[in-house]
Amino acid sequence: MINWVRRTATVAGWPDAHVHHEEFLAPQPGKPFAVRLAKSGLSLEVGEDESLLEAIERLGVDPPYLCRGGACGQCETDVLESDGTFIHRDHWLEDGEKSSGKKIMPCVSRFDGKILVLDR
Amino acid sequence: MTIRFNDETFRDDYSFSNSQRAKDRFPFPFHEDSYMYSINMEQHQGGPADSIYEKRFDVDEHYLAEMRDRALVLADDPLRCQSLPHMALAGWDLLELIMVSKSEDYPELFELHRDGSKWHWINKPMGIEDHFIFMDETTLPYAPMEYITRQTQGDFCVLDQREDNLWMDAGMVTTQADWSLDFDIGMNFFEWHAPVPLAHEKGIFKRALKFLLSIQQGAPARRLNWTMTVNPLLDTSPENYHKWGVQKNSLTPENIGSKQHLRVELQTFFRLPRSNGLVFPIRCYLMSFQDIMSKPKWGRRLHRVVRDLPEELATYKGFIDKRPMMLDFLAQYDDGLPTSFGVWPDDHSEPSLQK
Repeated sequence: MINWVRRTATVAGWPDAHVHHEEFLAPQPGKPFAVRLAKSGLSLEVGEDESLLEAIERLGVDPPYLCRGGACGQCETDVLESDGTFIHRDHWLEDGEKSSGKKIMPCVSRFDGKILVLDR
Repeated sequence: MTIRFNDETFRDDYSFSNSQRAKDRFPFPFHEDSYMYSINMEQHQGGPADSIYEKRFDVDEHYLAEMRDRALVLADDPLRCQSLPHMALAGWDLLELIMVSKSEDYPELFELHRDGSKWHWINKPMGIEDHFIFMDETTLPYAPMEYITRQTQGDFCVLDQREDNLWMDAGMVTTQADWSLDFDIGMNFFEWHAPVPLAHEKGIFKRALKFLLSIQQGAPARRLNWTMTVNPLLDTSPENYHKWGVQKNSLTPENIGSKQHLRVELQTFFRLPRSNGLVFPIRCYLMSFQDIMSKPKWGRRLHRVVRDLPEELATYKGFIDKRPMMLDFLAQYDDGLPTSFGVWPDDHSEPSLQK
């Protein structure tokens, strides 16, 4: 809906700076996906309305974090194994890191696929 | 909790001092024994009880003295408070944010009563009581941003957001670490940060800007920054460099413990609801070297940070010439023992100085 409003405003000739929007405070939702945490020896399902970071915290694992907005780099996590597509939403990783499939920022990013194993 | 406000000065006789409570809650900025720029931003949703992070706008024992100092600075130099014409709405946003926050967080000190657009504000410590019409500037003694920031500790940059950038289009800046609102007014985020060494190369400002642009209402963020100040001066502005710059040369090995202050800024970031602007309060906390040494962990760590800081940073922060004298003083408080991780003093678990 936000995108529809923005597109419509642009077509109607409104300057971008006069169309304000904000996402909902909760993390951006997405399809649920399964993750295995290699170091902790835990498996979990990331729900539709929670972030990967929140799901990891829910299991009692205490990963590093700071901004929870994909900018500070604190929660950068190594990917040990994956079969699927990363949905990177952070401002931290370089483009090469994003396409490498070896890194993910769990505070904002998600995954769509069969297998995801993290070094956590 | 009752706050006893200090009768003190930040100029001339420098009678500023920190009580034991102020020392205990000082925001020591180093979480490990070294320092480098990073995007050290986190959410500003409270913090440990009685810490400076607990309330949205911390009010402490220096409140009245800081407001007196601000009034003196403004009387000398009205350009410390500026607002470009399109920022009037953001000024009202800021007034609302501060009045609502302070009256909720410190009900014994501040009261806000609202009946539609008829507002009634009581600031007990400063003895101010005003009835005014929200959004009608003629009903207040100053424009809204100036009115409320004459009653709130810390500098305030009010940033306009457009073209995927932030613009320094309004502010109240009287307690700054050597930068000028009058010089920076109208600049964008990259322009006003241009003088900072090393951080651009590390991509810090690009990422920080993206984070700031997406800050939402009700979800403010915060970070700490720091520098060094000789004498407890709030106003270390370029405009007055001729007054305070020379004071650096008054440091001696005998007086450095009391004269040299670590200056820490609590920087917070709040989205403003009507204007879609961003307000960036910069709150200054000062603590003398000798007071910092009363915390063994902070003493050990400050020595190591100052000793190992890259030259570019010591130059930018203005203490490269005095670093040898600082290190002579600080080395007395470093016995080489390891320090615990994190910024807190850990008074009860850290060993006392072993020499």
